[in-house]
Formats: sequence, structure tokens, C-alpha cells
Amino acid sequence: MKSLPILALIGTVMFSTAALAQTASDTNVEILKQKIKADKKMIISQNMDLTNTEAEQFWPIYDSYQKDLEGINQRIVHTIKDYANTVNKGPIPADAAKKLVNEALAEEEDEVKMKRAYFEKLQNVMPTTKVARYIQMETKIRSLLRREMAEQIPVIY
Amino acid sequence: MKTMGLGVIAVSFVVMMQGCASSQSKGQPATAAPPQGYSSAQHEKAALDDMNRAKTARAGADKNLEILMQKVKADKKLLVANNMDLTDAESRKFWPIYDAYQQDLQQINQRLGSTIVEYAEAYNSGPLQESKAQKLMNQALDAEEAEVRLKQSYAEKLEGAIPERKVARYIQIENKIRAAVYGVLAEQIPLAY
Repeated sequence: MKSLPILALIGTVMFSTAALAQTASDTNVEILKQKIKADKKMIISQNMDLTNTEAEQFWPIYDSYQKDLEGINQRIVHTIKDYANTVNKGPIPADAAKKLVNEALAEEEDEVKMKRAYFEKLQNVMPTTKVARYIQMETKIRSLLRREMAEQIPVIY
Repeated sequence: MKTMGLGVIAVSFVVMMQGCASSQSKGQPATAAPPQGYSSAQHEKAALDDMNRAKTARAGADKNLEILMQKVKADKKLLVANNMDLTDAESRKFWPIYDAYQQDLQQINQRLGSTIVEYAEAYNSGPLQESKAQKLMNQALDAEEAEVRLKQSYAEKLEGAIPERKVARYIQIENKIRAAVYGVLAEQIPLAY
């Protein structure tokens, strides 16, 4: 796949959003986010070899998927912020720990379900092999993002 | 067309089988030196010897993989133990649940492993068939979903056994390890064409 290194930036951006949300960097983060969004679209477009007919049907579904994913991203960022706030106050209370685990697992579950729903939706408009390739790319991108998060978020003590 | 090498599959397997990032290793291809200078009368025997040698070498590689997998398993347990700070009473409750979880995860790993092997075979033998793409994608999504559900069920089980904060920490450690594994898989498995 072409130009994957760029995607490491997605993680950075999600973190920046969490860490810098209350600062003047908001505008910069927003610009960076827009750039990454465009880069992702370009990588996918370069790897999909869509015919014109396929493209007409694919891109609206892609856009709605990205919007849904953005919803999950926001939930993840919210969970991370909550976690950061709680951890900074001292030992984490049991109910807060439980809430964080439940939220993180629910987000993960929703993301898998969403992926399946879009896999099925896309099969109506283009060959399954291309749908599979697209889902592979989403999976690659999300896996790298999750690895980035896993590396950066400290464990609870 | 690029082929998806056995090395990739071996690495994928090893990292999946309980892998953590520090334990990655490249699969060593099993090779026996080809015999040289045989007369024609010896050819048949030489070919047989070759086959046996290759078989032995492959069995050796399987055994090495098995040893590596056991080591990775032990490393993971140690990593978890070092980070959990369990009291004796907590330990007694935690480790049986941990072992059961690892066994269930192992089954998911096997499902993922056979999906990767099936994909490699299809990938290496030409353009991916529609029905194959459908089947493989469903298998991959099923495994992913099963893993999340499994994690949820073990988080609940652990909540009854150790403090919530330690449950959260353990789930974080599992997430870190799995994220490293999935990161490797994402990097190594080629796109379907």
C-alpha cells in the first residue's frame, strides 16, 4: 500500500486533540486533521482502481463511513480525556475504572459492528474483492492508530 | 505478481500466538543442502533422501516454532505478572481466569491463523475470487467480533475477583499486546487484488 507512514500522524492528531483541546493550537489541530482526512482519501482512491460507475456509488458511502468513524473517534478522545483527568487526581476509584473499561470496550464493539455494516452496504455497489480491499485498508489504518494509542496511554495504577 | 511468503505467515503466526512486540522473530526457512554429483543410478535414492531431509527440516522448523510459541506465552505471563502487583488472595483468583482467557484467545488466534493461510494460498494463486473474498472477510470480521466479546466477558468475570482498577490495568495490558500483534499483521498482510 502506498504512503502508509502518513497515517501514523492520525494517532498524533487524536492525541493532540485530547491534550491540546483547551489551547490556542485548536486551529492548527483542525488544519492537520483536514489534511490527514484528505491524505487518507487519496491513499484509498489510489489503491481502489474504481471505475466511474463504482466511484459514483463508493464515495458517498465512504464519506458516511468516515463520519460515523469520526463519532467513534470523538468517543475515544472523550474516554482518554476522562482517563487523563482521573489519573491526574490520584489513585483511580473503582467506579471510574469500571466506567472507563466499559466505554473503551463499547467503542471497540461498535467499531467492529460498523465495519461489518459498511462491508455489507458496499457489497451492493461494487465487486466483493474491491470491498475486501477497502476494508483491509480501513483495518490497516485503524490497527496502526490503535497501536499508537496503546503505546502512548500509560496503564492504570 | 508479488507472492505472500511463508516467512510472513510464520511471523504472523508467531506474533498472534500470544505474541508481544519484543518477541517477534522471522521464520527460518527450512533448507537442506541439495546433493551434488550423483550418478543416474543413485538419482531415485537421492530424490527420496531429499524428500526425507526436507520433511525432517520442516518438522524441525515446526518444533522451533512450537518452542518459540511457548517462550512467547511465558514472556506474556511474566509481563502481566510484573505489572499486576497482585496480593496472594488476588493471585489465586486471577491466574485461573487468565489461563482460561488465554485458552479462548488461542482459539481466536487459530481462526485468524487459518484465515491468513487461506488468504495466502488464494493470493498466491491469482486474482481473488468473489466468493473467496466474501468468505475470508466474513471470517476476519467474525474473529474480530468474537475477540471483543471475549474481552468483555473476561472483564466482567475479573470484576468479581480483583479490584476494578486492576481489571482495567489488565485489560489495558491485553490491549497493548493485541494492538502490537494487529499492527504487525496490518503491516505485513498485502491488499487483495
